[in-house]
Parts: sequence; structure tokens; C-alpha cells
Amino acid sequence: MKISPGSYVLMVIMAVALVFVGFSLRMEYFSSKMLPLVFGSVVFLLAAFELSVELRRPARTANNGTEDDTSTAVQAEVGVRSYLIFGAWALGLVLGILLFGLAIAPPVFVLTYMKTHGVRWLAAIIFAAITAGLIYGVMDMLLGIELYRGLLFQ
Amino acid sequence: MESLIAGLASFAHLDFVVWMVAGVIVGLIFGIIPGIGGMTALALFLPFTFVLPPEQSLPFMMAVMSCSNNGGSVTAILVGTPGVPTSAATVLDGFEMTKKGQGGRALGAMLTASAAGGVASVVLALGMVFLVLPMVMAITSADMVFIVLVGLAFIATLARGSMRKSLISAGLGLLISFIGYQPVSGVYRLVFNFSYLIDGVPMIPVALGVFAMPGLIALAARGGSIATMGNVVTRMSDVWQGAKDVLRHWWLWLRSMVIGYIIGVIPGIGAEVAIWVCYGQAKQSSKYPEKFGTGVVEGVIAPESAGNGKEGGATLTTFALGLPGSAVMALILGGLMMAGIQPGPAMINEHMPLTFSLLLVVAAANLVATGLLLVAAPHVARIANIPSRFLAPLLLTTMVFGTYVSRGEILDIVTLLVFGALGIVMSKMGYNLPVMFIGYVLGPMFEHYLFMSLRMAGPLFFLRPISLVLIFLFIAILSYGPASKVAKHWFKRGVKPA
Repeated sequence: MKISPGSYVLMVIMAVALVFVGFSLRMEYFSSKMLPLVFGSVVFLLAAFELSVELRRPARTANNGTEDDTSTAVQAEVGVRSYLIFGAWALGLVLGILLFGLAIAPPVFVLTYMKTHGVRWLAAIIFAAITAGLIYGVMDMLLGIELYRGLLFQ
Repeated sequence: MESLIAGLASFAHLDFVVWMVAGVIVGLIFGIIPGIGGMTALALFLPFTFVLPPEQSLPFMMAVMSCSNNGGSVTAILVGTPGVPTSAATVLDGFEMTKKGQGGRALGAMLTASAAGGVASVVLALGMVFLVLPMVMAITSADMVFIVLVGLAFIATLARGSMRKSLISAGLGLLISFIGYQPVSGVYRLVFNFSYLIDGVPMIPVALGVFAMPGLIALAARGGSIATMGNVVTRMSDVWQGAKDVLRHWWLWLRSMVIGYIIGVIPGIGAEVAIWVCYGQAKQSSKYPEKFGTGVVEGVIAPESAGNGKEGGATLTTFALGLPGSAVMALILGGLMMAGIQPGPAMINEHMPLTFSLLLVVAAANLVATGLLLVAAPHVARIANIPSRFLAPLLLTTMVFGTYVSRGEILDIVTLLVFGALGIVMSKMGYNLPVMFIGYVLGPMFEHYLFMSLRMAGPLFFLRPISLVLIFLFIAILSYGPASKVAKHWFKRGVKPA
């Protein structure tokens, strides 16, 4: 029986709901445990029912090797890859901020992202400079927010 | 009446008007960019409600909400790509009119119908406030418990896709809201000794992650330009002709606006339903239904009237009952709560002038947007030509700034990433993110009213006429879907012969 990605998501949801139910049972006061227990149980039961429906759903017909099936699969893979690539960029930005701080990481991110996606050097540098200017102009000077310096510079 | 005058007096303050106009411009720009829209704009600017006073942040947010539809319709007409989902019906005839050289006329009809629709729905809502006020004053905390449940059930069952997945989404949102300090018992729930979670999961990274991040990642993954627009020439004479078309089809405009308003009042139905219902009824009632889709002005007037007509109704439901009917309204509700204003009966009772002034912002913002677009629509539509390789990194950094600005807490950026990933996975798997966010926003309110009712009236607090009706409604909403499936199954089987 092939387990679809939706089934895995449902299993995760059931696990999360069980965590809520389990921890709420250990709480001392009725007023603190009631709602997490009730809604955790409801979510668990709904997810379990949905999972049973999902697992009993007939698998998609076997790939007959037609061009349409192949191109759809390729499109889906390309779609997932594009999502993962941008997700990696977003993760890189967050890690950069955690390590180098808010003043350095975002302009560097803007510059490297634009450059790797075919933008000319001058345009990429201008946008990176605008980003740096907005950080200091809006966050530091206008809003008076202390910029996070990063783990390496603290 | 004094409250209405006090509400009008807000417009005498320069900062109120300036921020409203800023919201109009932001709403138009974000509405024009397909895949982004007013929801992303609201989520991006929600953090600034922390640092701006309410008399600046609230008109800004209301203006963004009101005007993003107008921006989206410009690209729908001139480029053939709806900037926002509520402009999808406008593409059918609006873009065809542009191809026939009648783009200016379509724009004039769109601007007039949507501005008039927005203003008229606000007038309706203002009138309804006085009708709704006695009902609102009769509502107690016990009734609010079931109003929240009914609202969530409505939203979950009427939303697109699987009802079970929508209910799971609503449940997950409620569970997330229970993390952190609970005022009733003074206990920290599910924080796992992590001080970051003491105040609960913060709203800004959740809103940005769930609403803005999936759209942004889809934009970046698509690559290239969102749309391409050639040279579109619009003459003012054509635009005025479009405006006159709305006057000529005043009955179509009026009934579309009223339908949009009624649909806006009911939580969960959404603007997309309003525009398609009105497009369908315009086609059915037309003398030439076969011409719809080939470039007839009625095909622009009907959905545009409905799209803006729903704003007044949806805003009133959110303010009066604290029930956001859509993701956009949930973000507005979040903005109100961050400004220290609790939507619901308390807002109508204690902040009536504010309620009126924000309703009036919806009308005023529509008028300002119309004025701006009359002058600049073809030029503004070129924003849709901007390649995603420029937009994506700038929007992502803006999201990160916005997240950090709200609390100055660097871990909020990690939360943004987590909820962004969650948002993408859940939306791909058919779960309902707006419902989840609404559950998250309403959870604390629900718990507060529940324990207040229990403390005041004991376990039988629901034995009140309004509460009993709401309980019946709640059960009816949840069981309607399964019951109708069972009924259909029995009808198909038929009566067995004797």
C-alpha cells in the first residue's frame, strides 16, 4: 500500500494532537487542561478518520509511460525543486542574520540572489545599497530599533 | 449620531488622512502584482501596528484592505491577469474589451462600479450599525462562546476543499493559540521551559509565514515576469463612457452590490463567491447572455460592484461580532487587537466613533483610489511587469524586517520560517490556512468568554435562548454535509419493492 504525502502530513498532525492531549492530561488545573484536551482529541479523531479515508483511496492508475504523464511528473518535480531552492535561500538569509546580524546579512542576500538570477552587477549593488539604507534609515533612525548584531559580532 | 460625527471628525486630522492615503497607494501597488495582493500587504505591514499609534495604523490597514481589489482589477483589465483572486471574473470581459480597444471604457466602468459599490456598502453598514446595536447589547459572554464556534464552523464548512481538512485546520489554529500563559489558571501551557513561548506563539511571524510566505515562494519559483503588458492607450473620453455605462446599468450595479454586501456579512463565504454569483446573475438576466465573455461592460460592472460591495458587510461582522469572515479580515482583527481594541460587542459599545471612522475609511479610500487610478492606471499596471528576481528578495527581506520590528526578538525570524514551511505544506495538501489563522486569532477570545461564562453561571451557562439557537446552528452546520450525503445515497438506492 503506497502511502501518499498527504497521509504523512496527517500522521504528523495526529502526533501533534497527541502531544497536546498528553501534556494537557498532566496539567494540574481543570481550566488549563480542558480546551487543549478537547480540541486535541477532536483534531486527533478528525485526522485519524481522514487518514483512514486517504489510505483506502485507490492508488492512481499506473503510469502508462505516456508523454502527458511524464511531463506532468516532470513539472511537479520542477515545481518542488523550485520551492526547495527558494526555501534554501530563505534559510540562508535567516542563518546569515543569526550569524552576522541584521545590518550585514540582508544586503548581502539581496546582492547574491539577484546576481545568481541574472541581474547585472550595477543593479544588484544598487538594490543591496537601498536595502542597507532602508535598514539604517527606517529601522535604526526612524523607528529607533536596535539592530541585532549576530552571534559572531556580539 | 454623535458617534458618527465623532467618526467623521477623524478626517480632520492630517496624520489620519495621510496614513489612509499611504494605505491606498500600498494597497493599489500590492493589488496590481499578481500573486501578492492585499493579504500579503496587510501581513507585511501588520508589524508596524506595534510602533505606530492606532490613529495611524488602523486607517492605513483599512485602506490597504479596501483598495487592493481595485489594483488587482487594473491588471485584470489591461493585462489579462487578475492581481487578486477577486478580480478573476473581471478578466473574462475586461481584458476582451481591452483587446477590442475599449480598455479605457472597461477601466471607467470598473472604477465607477467599485467606488460606488464600496461607498454604498459602507452607507448600508452605517445604517445597519443602529439596527445591530440592540442585538449586540443583548449578547452576553455565554453567547459569544457559541458565536465563535458557529463562526468557525461556518468558515470551515463553506471554505473551498475538504470540510474535514478545514475543521482540522481550525482545530490546529486553536491548539496553537493555547500555547503560553493562560490568565485563568496562571499556568504556562506547553512552553517546554522555553522562555520564548511564555507569551504564546507570536502573531506576526504566524501571519507572515502563513499568508505571505507561500505566495512569495510561488512567485520566486515561477520565475520570470508575472505579466507582460504592451502599450495600452486609454483616453479620458473612453473612461467617462465606462462611468456612464454604470449609470445606464444602475439596477445591475445595485443588485450586485447588495448581493456582495449580504455575502460579505456571512462569515466564511468569501469574496470569490460574491463575484462569481454576481457575474452569473448578470449573464442570466442579460438580453444577450451569449455575449458575456466576449467583452461586454456588464461583465465588468457586476463583479466589481460585488467585490467592493462585500467590504462594508464583512467589516461590520468583524467589528460587531469579532468574527473575521476571511483571512484579510482576520489580519484586520489582529491589527485591532494589537492596537488594544477588542473587536466584538465591546468595540461597538465602547469604541463606536472608531467603528464609524474605520467604516468611513473604506468609503473614502475607494474614492481616493478611483481618483488615483483615473489618472495613472495604465502606468501603474506596469508594476506587474517587474521580474520576480527583483521582487522576491526584496519582499523576503521586508518580511524579515517586519517580523523583527514587531518585538525586537530575533527568534521570531525562525518562527517565520517554520510557519512559512508549514503554510506551504498545508496549502499544497489542501488544508485551509485562513481558517487555521482565524482559529489561532479567536482561540484566546473563545477561552476567555468560556471561562467567564462558567464562572458567572456555572456549567449550565448555555441555557439561554440565544445560546441554544447558536448551539442548534452549530450542530446543523456541521451535520449538513454528512446528512446530505447520506440522503443522496438513500435517494439513489430508491424504495425497495414490497
